[in-house]
Amino acid sequence: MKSPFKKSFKTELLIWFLVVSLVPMVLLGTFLISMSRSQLKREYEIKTLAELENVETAIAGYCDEIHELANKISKSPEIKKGIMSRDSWIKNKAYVELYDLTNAYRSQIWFDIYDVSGKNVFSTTSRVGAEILPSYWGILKTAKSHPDQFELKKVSQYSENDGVRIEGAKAILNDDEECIGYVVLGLTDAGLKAMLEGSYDSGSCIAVLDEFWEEIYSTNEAKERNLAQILRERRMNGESIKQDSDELVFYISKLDDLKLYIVLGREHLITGEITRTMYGVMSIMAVVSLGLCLLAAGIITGFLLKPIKDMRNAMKVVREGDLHVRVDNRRTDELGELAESFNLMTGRLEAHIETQIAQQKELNESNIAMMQAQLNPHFLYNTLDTIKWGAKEHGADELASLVSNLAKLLRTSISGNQFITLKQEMELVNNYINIQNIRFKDGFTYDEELPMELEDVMVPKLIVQPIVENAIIHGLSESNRGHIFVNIWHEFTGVDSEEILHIDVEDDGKGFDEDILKALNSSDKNELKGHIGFKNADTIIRLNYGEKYGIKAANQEKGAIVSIIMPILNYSDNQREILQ
Amino acid sequence: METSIKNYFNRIFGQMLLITCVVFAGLFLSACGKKEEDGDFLLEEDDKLVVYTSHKEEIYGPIVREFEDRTGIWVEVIAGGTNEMLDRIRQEKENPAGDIMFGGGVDSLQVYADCFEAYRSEKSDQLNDAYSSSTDSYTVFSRLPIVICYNSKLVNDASLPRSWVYILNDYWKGKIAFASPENSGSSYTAIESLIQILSEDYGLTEDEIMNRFLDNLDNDLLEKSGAVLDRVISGEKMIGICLEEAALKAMKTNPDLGILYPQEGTTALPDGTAIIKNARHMDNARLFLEFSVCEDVQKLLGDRMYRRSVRVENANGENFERFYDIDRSIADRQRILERFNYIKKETE
Repeated sequence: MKSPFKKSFKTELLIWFLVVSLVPMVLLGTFLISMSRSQLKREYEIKTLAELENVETAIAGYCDEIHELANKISKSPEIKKGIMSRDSWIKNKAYVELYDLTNAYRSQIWFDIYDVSGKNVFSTTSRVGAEILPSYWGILKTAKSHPDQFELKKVSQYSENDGVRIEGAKAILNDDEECIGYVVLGLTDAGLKAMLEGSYDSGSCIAVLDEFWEEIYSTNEAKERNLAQILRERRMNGESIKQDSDELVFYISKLDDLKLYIVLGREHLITGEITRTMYGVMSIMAVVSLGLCLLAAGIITGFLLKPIKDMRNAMKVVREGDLHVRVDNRRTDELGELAESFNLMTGRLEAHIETQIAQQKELNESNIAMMQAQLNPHFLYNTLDTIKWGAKEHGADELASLVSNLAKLLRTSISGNQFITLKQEMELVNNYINIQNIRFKDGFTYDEELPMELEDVMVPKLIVQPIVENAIIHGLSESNRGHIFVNIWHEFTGVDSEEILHIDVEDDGKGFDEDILKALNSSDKNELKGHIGFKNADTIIRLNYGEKYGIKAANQEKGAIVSIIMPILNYSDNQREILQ
Repeated sequence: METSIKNYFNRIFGQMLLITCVVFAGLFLSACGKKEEDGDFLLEEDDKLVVYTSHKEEIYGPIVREFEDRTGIWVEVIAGGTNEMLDRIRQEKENPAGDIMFGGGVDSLQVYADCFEAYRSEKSDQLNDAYSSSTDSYTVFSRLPIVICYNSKLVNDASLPRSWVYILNDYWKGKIAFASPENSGSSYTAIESLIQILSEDYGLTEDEIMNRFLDNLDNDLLEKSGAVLDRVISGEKMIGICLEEAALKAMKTNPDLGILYPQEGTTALPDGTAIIKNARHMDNARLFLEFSVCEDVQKLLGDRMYRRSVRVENANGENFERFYDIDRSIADRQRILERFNYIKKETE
């Protein structure tokens, strides 16, 4: 089926070039980009998760430390005494102990000791007046009901401990395991900063959330992004915690013991911009390769197409009949070979046609000559007839007989028939003998033997006459009274019971020379110079009946015998008519 | 010949396409498979509560936190002015986003009773029933007495206005800090209380009271109730009428500030909590309401928040309180606000 629009070789080539060059490149490019993206992402994730673990460890370690500290304070006998006593000496001793224990932490953590009713007894801060913390509420309540636990809680707004973010409380028990007071540790911003310091990259946003995802601490960046609040809102609204539109990737881990959540946010490693750049580079490469394809297609098409075009044009010229055209065949590749073949072909064609034309010309010339020659016989025949009647009038009977025989001979020989009956052929021979008898003044005698049943046998015209002529001219040339005898007979031979006709022409002349005899009986009768009649008769028989028939010659005791051997074909009347 | 080559190429092309599809499908699937689940962080609806509040954070903050701690319910707080929140509730009546209204004077809550679910607290017998809702639309939360504050540097102990009626004395003309009742709910409660107490105790008419009071304000009406204490502390005004809560809190950092409970007594109109009709988290809303009137919260009101408990047991020994007629207050509202408007217009 033909395409509705014409596809040129160039476009087809271009399409395939594009398919071969662009498709794998684009596929490979896309594959590589996505592979490298996912690989980088995985590595980045591993790194970030390691960082998150660092932060976890830092927080857990710090919390363990301060828990240990809270334990020490709560177990200190001086402090226990100090809570129970009103003696200022004992209170001082308790303070000394408290300050001793908390030396390393006081810049980060506020330490307060409350009595069992929630009244502040000792404080490392310089707050004015005694503060009361409700013991039925919040951390003191938890500390009292779970004396072995140390839970960090976000400080509620009501506390005047400005700067304190989270508090942890521990119950102080007396020897009877009764609660006599509380030690409360308030972590300030500085404390939290110290806790996290060095555990995370500067590029990360860290937020520490409590059990209910309330913000406890955020790094500056996380604060700017309002990280804690956004995440809590999402969780409350049942939205996905991580959303595609986020500028950050979140990793969230839970510290089970402390009931804290750590959120680590990092910027996407592979931003949309980087991906866009990667695809952009790929697109540029695609465009470049498109250009290359166009160029290559152009060049290759030119390279391939030029000889083909030349050839096409040459063909067109040939189609119009001009065979002189030749194409450039300097190339050594297949196209060069093709051009060579083309040139050879046109050359041969040209030569062939030239020969044909020459032959035709020759043929035409001979035809013309023949036609010119054919004009004469009828005229000749009529003239001869006129001469005959003229001769009879003047009583020149001999001349009349001569002319009459010549006219008969001429009429038979110029008739258009190729075949005649044996009887007619023999009449023709008689006419010829008559003429020769007059010419040679009865120099020889002639006899013939033609059985009646063979009279109607069809034979090629003028096959006997040349043999007789030859016998008269060559055989009897040296004798005065020679004799020529034509004996016609037939036989049946071979498995097929073929009927073979023999026409023997015998003379009593000098016989054939040995070399002529040899030539006569060989297949090559070209050497028969001067015996052209022989050759012609032989050729006619062979052409008509096959190679095994023809003319045979032999010398006799006196003279020679020449036999014409040919089959008798039984022609129907119709065929006869056609042959005649 | 040509077609066979074409077929060959087409087959190769088809195979390439197939391989590509497989590769991409693989990539796509692996990308999908890695998508993390939020399942760990999914909150059940049963664990949520949305609180609309007109309280300040220092009130709702600790209470909400403790509620979360004790129940494990996640609370989302949406805070705003009383009227703002009530309007919002009315707008969302068909499809309520909030579960409970925490805060707002009971007079206001009563006006919006149609938006609230009738609920009688299990602890209602332990609560002050003076202002309990006849339709159970709200439950009282804290009592907020109206008091007179003064700057002790400027006002001699002997000249203190120990009775409401002294406020009307010419002596205080231009010396009283008072916020516009149109802007401040507590300010309206204050003027209405003045009218109710004085008309009851002294037989004064509303007009007489209003005329003399407005005269004493000397055309100086403050925009916000918070400004009352500022003016008194700064000495611009000698005395002011405000809520006890605000005055007590300010006293903590301003030793010169004094509070006076007039001898006639004063009203302590409570604010309340109301469950929004058709709330999505009805059970949690009820839990929160019950929590708001539990012993601990009510004790904390007095201990840390300068408010008075609505629990009967915490009111022992109090004898200052006068009844505030809410119905009368609602009826008088338009008329009284117009008087203030009239005065204000004159000044402008």
